[in-house]
Amino acid sequence: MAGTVVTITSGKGGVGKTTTTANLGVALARRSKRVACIDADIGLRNLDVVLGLENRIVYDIVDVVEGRARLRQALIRDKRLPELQMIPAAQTRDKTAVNPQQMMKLADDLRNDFDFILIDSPAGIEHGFKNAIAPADRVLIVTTPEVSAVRDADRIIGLVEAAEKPKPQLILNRLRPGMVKRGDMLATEDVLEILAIDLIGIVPEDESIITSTNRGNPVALEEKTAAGAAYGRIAQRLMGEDVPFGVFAENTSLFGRLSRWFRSPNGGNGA
Amino acid sequence: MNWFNSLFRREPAGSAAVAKNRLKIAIQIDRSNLSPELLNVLQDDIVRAISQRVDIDRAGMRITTERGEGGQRRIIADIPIKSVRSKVASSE
Repeated sequence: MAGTVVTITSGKGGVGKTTTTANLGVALARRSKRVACIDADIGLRNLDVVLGLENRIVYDIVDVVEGRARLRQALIRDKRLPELQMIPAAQTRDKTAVNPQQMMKLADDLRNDFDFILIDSPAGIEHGFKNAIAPADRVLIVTTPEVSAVRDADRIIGLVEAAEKPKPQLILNRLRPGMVKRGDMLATEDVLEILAIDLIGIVPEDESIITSTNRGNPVALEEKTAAGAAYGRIAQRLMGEDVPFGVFAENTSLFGRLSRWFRSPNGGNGA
Repeated sequence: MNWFNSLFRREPAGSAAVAKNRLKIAIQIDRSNLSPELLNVLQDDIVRAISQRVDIDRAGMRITTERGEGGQRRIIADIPIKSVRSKVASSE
């Protein structure tokens, strides 16, 4: 069966597209799916460092589309996970070095050998976004529960629909359950109501994302952390499994409870 | 008491509710933004419809959008009339 092309996009930068792409790639590969991750952010290559594969790059995506390298040569195999491979972006070119037709050809060439082709879209709504979206069978929109990110997500959803792609699904990233509970962060339901698309996953704010990215070992390599487990669940949903949406435990440390007690108007009875 | 309250009390209404309302309005405006191409097409449609009854000054015509109360966008068409066609009486 031909592989599915999944594009991960957001509009706004810095909401976690690359982290999401890397961790979904890892989580799918851990489930024995053959995965190719493509960094479509030409000129601002980053998927390689998030995956910890930056020292192994010889050829990049522009070398492939311009015929200087064969696809096989540009694919970097992840030694930790035999099913995971990556095509890096070019670092010294700009987004116009690749066009949507070339992206579609590249994705089609990968479909026979992979179950999932994950495309990490650049931020913005211009050339790079159009490249990333062109071959997509499915589109995942990443947003954080912040006004700027949600607004940009709405713009992107409109553009995905205009490109006649299937309705995108939402990954709500960096949710802080404690803040939602206090009424100081948009809740999942709020974001879904505003954007009117289906949810595919919620990833809680988790310091392990930073420490794992520092080391080049995506959290999804071990699904022990809250974020790592969340990526595992999204991977299962991508594979068609029906996984219930978890409720994230609040910070239940003594300090956390005490500080909330002091912050709330009548000693911990806050909504 | 005021300093005491402000020290220990959080904001009366959660900021999430404010965020949600602001987002709803901002997105409503974003979604109803008409592109210049669409405005041109609309202008042609309006000219065609109105010209059957009224002789208008096309060169002096302006069509724009404006934000109304509650953030809702509206189309404003300013169409100078040259003359009303006399045969309007019969609706055939």
